[in-house]
Amino acid sequence: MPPIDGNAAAGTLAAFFGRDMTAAHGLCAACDQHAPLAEALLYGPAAGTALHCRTCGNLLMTMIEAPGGIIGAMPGLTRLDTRPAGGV
Amino acid sequence: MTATPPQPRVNWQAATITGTDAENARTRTLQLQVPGWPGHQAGQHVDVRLTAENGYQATRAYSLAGAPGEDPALTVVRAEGGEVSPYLVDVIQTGDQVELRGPIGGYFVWKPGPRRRPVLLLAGGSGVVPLRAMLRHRARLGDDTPMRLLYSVRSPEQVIYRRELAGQADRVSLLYTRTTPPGWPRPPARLDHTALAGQAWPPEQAPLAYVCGPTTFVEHAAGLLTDLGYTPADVRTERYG
Repeated sequence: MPPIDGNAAAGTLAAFFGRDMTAAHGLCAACDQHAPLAEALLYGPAAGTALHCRTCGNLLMTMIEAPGGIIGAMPGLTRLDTRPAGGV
Repeated sequence: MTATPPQPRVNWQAATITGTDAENARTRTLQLQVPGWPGHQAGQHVDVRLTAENGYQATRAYSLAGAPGEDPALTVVRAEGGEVSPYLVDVIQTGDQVELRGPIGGYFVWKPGPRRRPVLLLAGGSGVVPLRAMLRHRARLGDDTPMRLLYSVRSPEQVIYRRELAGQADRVSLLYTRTTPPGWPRPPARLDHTALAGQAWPPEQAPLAYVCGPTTFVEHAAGLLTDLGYTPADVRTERYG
């Protein structure tokens, strides 16, 4: 299955954060790329959601929708910014 | 002052199919009735979840095909061997229900802005669906934002929204990549710099671009736009698997 992108994770992200996060900007811990989560690489569909940096491939974030809630981790993000255009 | 975006609807709820329209041999539009539908923005989508008798669940994101103010509708293209789309295109009938979550998405969305920045829509194949919602939104509002759609498609048989788009020949161009209709003035060709430069608003007009389609199409088209002088942050992309 080819990678798609973070737009396809909008539902899981919204369920996790309670707001749209596709327009939020993330800062990649590996390469300092600053980009909307919508632009992240997503491999799927799969049971869980994994977002990777489009520039360097670093794993930014994972989410698993489990009964009763969502389990998330953000091993590759040093910042997440929901201001318009990520504050730029 | 910044308006607070509406809270996304994140709970699954039942949606009822109220009608179906065949768009082409492998594409169908499903009209939906969703209790308490809050309205949506052009370019947003919903997640659809199917549950098998053994409890196995599959979830896919589908773009909303209609304009804000219209009832929710999904245009689905059958992915051969897929878990969800063959059911939605070939099996589900009026009166049936699916589970749905949304509307969602705040990145790949368009609404008229105060500056009326020209908008270039670039569609590859089924990527036309959210861009059609943007065209319809503009038309329903009677908005005067300059907007143009360039739709790359393999063959005439695969065109979606054929009649609707044919009625907007002044702002819609089709680019056939494998087979053209008889007598078409251009041989089949992939989107290239020349074809794009002939359609794109010049960068001096501060255009916005929305690019949607298969990953290879999106990367290719976004690269061409950057070469033309478009600002990367003004090129919004959505990749279909």
